[in-house]
Amino acid sequence: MNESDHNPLSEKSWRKPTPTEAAELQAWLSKHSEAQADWETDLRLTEAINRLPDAPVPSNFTARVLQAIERESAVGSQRRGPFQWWSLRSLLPRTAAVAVVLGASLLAFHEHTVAERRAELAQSVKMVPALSPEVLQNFETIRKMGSATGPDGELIALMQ
Amino acid sequence: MLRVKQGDVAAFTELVEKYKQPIMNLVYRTIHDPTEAEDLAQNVFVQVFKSAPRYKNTAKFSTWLFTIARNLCLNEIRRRSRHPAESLDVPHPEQEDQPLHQFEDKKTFSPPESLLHGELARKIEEAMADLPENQRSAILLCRQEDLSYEEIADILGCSVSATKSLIHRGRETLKEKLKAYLRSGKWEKTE
Repeated sequence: MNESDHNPLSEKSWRKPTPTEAAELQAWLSKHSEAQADWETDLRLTEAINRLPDAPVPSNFTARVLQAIERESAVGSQRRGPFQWWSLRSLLPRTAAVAVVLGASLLAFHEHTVAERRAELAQSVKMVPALSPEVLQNFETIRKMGSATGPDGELIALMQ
Repeated sequence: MLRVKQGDVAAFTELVEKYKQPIMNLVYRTIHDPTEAEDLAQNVFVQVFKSAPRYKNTAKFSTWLFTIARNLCLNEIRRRSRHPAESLDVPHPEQEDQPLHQFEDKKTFSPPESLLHGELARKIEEAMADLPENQRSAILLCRQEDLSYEEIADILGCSVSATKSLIHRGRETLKEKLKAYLRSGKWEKTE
C-alpha cells in the first residue's frame, strides 16, 4: 500500500474541499479537461455516500445506556459484597493478629518443652545422693577393674 | 471527558447525545444487524464510562471513541464467524407449523426500506456491504469531517498512506459498481 496507487489530487474529492483546495482544484482542472468527467464522478460518489440516511437511533438510547451502567455497577457491588471483608484493608490486621497468636503459642510450647527437660534432668541428678559410701567404695573397685590393662597384682593379693 | 473522569454523569450524557448518531451509523453499516447494532452501540458508551478513569487526554476523544466502536464491531464479526447463525426455518419440535425461533417484527426499523430512499441509496448500501471491512470502515470514517486522516489511521491501526489506499480502493470498487448511476447523474431522482 503506498500513495502511488492513486492521484493525491483525487483525495480532494473524498471530502468537501476547503475554499483554498477548491481553487487549486479548479485551476488544475482547467488545464486537464480530460480529467473533468472522472472528477465529477468522484464528487457524485462522495455526495452519495454523505447523503446515506442515518441509522435510526431509539429515542431512549441515552437512558438505556445509563440503565446498563447502573446494572453493571449493581452486579459488581453484589459480587464484591460478601467478600468485602476479605479486602486488603481488613486482611492485614487480621493476618497480624494471627501471626501474634501463633508466635505466642510457639513460644509457650518451647518454654514448656524446656521446662520438661529441666525437670527430667533434675530428676536424674536427685538419684545420685542415694548412693552410700560402701557403694562408692565398691564403685571405685569396679572402676579400677574397667581401666586395668593387665592382671592387677594388688587386687589378686587382696582377694587371696 | 475530563469531567466524566471525575464522575460527572451530566457530562457523560452530553457525550452520548453528541456521538450516538455517528456511532450508530458506523456500527450498523459494519455489522448489518439493527438489533445487534443498537446493543453494540450502547455497549460502546458503557465501555467509555467504565474506561473513563483510564482515559488520557493525549488523543482526541472522538478517536478513542471510534476505536472502541470499531474494536467491538470486530469482536462481533469474529464471534459470528465462530458461531454461525442457526437457520430461522427450523420448525419447533412440538409445534411443527411454528418456527423454532420467533422474532418481533420491528416495523420502526426494517432496513433497507426505512433507511433507504431511491435506487442509488439502496445500491450504495449493497455495494458498501460487499466491501472488505477495513475499506468500508475507512470510507465510513472518512464521512466524519471532524476526523483527520491521521486520526482515521489511528482508529484503523494502520499508517496514513495505508488508510488513504483503503479509501481509494474502496471508492474505486464503489465507482465500478455504481458507474451507471454516477456518470448519468440519475442519482438525483428518487422513487
